[in-house]
Amino acid sequence: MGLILKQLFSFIKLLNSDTGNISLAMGMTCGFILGMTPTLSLHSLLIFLILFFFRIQIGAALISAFFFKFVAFILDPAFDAVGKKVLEIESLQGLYTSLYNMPIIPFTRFNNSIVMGSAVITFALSPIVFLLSQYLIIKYRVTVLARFKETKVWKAVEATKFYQWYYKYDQYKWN
Amino acid sequence: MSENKDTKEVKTPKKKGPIRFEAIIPVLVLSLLTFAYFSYYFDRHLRSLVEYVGTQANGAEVNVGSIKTSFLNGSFDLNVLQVTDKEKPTHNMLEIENMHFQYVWDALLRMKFVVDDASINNIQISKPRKSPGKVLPPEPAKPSKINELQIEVISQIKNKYGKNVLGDIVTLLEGGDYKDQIDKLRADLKSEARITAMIADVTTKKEFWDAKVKTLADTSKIKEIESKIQTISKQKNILEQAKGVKDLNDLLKDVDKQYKEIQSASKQLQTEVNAVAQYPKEIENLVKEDIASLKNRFSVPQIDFKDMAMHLFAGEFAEYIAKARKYQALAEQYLPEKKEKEEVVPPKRDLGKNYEFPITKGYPLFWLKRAALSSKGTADSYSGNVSGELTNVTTSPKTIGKPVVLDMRGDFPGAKVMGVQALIKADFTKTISEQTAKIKVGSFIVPEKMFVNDEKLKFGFKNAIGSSTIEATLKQEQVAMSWNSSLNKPLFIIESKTKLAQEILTNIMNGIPVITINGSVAGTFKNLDMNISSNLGDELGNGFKREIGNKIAEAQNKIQSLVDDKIMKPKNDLMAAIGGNKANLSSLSNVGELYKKNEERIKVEIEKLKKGGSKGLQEQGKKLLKGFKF
Repeated sequence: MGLILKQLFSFIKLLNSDTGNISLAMGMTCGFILGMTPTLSLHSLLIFLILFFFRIQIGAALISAFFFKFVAFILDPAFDAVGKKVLEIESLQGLYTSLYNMPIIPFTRFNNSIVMGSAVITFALSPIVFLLSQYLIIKYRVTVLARFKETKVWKAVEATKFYQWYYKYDQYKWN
Repeated sequence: MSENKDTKEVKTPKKKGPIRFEAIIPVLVLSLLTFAYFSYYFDRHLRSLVEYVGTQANGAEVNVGSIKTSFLNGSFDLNVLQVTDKEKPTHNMLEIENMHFQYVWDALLRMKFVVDDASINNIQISKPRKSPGKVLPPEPAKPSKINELQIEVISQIKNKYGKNVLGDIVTLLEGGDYKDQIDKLRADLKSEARITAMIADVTTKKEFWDAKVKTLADTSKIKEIESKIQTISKQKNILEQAKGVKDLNDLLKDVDKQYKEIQSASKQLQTEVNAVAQYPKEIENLVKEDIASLKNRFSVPQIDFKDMAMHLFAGEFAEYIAKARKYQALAEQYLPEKKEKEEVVPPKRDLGKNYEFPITKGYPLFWLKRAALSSKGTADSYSGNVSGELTNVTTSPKTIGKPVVLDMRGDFPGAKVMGVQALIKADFTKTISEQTAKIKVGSFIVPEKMFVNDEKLKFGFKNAIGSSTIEATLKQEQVAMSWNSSLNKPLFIIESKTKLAQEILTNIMNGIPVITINGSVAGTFKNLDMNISSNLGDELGNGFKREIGNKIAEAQNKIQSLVDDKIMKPKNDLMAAIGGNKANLSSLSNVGELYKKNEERIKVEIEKLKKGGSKGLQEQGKKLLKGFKF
């Protein structure tokens, strides 16, 4: 429980930080893919490489992957059913056979029903997840965060020496 | 001025692009380090690993000159592989100058190791090392499974044919042992014990009959008859004569009684004499039994000369069979797939279902398609003139559907091993695996071999030129092997303390310029039916059979004479005792006849007296007494 709360607070902190909306939304989308699909597959490695080389919020990706794992556990039967349907499409058998006999590709474990089902669903939903998360982040920052900053309580806190000291420390730490 | 100051203080952060350049540098550094490791250190570490694993597997030092791997080329080169001979650490059992393997990239991208073409160059055997190789100490406490399988085969054969048969023969030829045995056994001779009992019996009977005959042959009664007849015949008085007749009648009754008693005793003695007369026959049978018993305890005549070749060469053949067992077990361990098809295990829910698609281009985990063996040797080098190929070594024979085949031909002039031909097939493509091997060596130097090496006899040969062919078929536990070998110009070593053994062996060996050995074995490794024939065994068998036959006859005669010596005196004593009883029987018969005659005479005298003729009676009485000569 402590771990979940820690992850949750980290996520709120990220939302409250100056991190770009797109970077955060991309991070959440990558986390969505990582969390929903089984870890031991080649496309997971691809996602990690993307996270590493592109300016995507890694923290957001890992935190969202952590939370999406729980969702994926519940959705496994659905992934399995979809995967089976996709893998059993008659017209694609030739393609699958070719892929199965190609180098490297079999390491994606595409022939596994859950891997295939989760990949199809997550890749299909990832643009939606990106747009949705971006929208929600902006909405949160504009409505919730901005309003909170206007409250007297927050202004009182902001005026304290301790906050100023912490703000400088935080800026120093992250820059 | 203050405005300028403000613009200096407020720094707008530099906008960062979508690519995380600050992460690329560490990755590049890491990649460079990896590249440097694989370029400069990996080969060295791999070389050390091969040396360590090779040494542990071989039990003696394995050295590798260098290893060169290339990731981009997918190649593996191993130079100067030296495998120390465990038995002779100053020499290498095998030395290979270069091994080159070219991997297929297409397979490597699938995490499979397929060698399209490999070459193994300049194979050398028995080459002296620059410095002796280190030999690992044996591990007696923990014998491996492979060793156990080998020991099982060897012990099975050695238990059956491991006897020192030549040693036993020499013992017999020495001749001392069987005499000692007989002397020790003398005390236990049945015949001697029985004769002693017989003598006691016959002596007792003789004593009894001596006394009895003495009593029955007492002459006082006959003298009494004579005097009574004289007295009665002198009587002139008729009354006295009548009384004399009565007295004679009483005497007649006495004589009759005595006669009957003698008759009865005579019959009894006759029965006993008849019984005792069987004793010599019984003694003869007992003597025969004693001789047979001695022969049984005197075990040498049981040597089976047909098995001579088996006793001489079974140990050597067993080593070959054990090696076949070892390589079969190793091949079964490493080459075939463990199961015909993986069992269908329902996957856990979160594992999903794995779909299998037809394999149009698949590889087994490891597949050495072809390795060419080549080597050029010279008379003064240890390299061999070898050519051949090793094909289809794989971890999944059923996938590729081809057996492992090693086809090799070559000569090793340095080691004086010529005309080597090996065709070995290991077929694991079917449910039941089958391995066949045909290994032929045209000629090789056979090192010193001692068949017997003990105090009594040293027998073997120093040097010979051998040729050998081994064919084997192994199918699961079933084995069928044949071994044909010939050893030319053997220089025999014959040393025996026994002159006769030395002489016989020398004579036999002089007539053998070539030793041929033909062996075969069939059955399961746990129950081997082995047969070996050799002209050496036959010649030794025939030679020894002749000599041993004479020895056995001599030993039999010796036993006979020893038995005879032992029982001769008691036997004579017995016969004398039996003879004494026969004499008693004769005496009794004589006495019986006398009493019979007296009885007749008395009857005559009684008749005369009844008729009144006293003179006649007296004269008759005198005549009777004269007739008795008492």
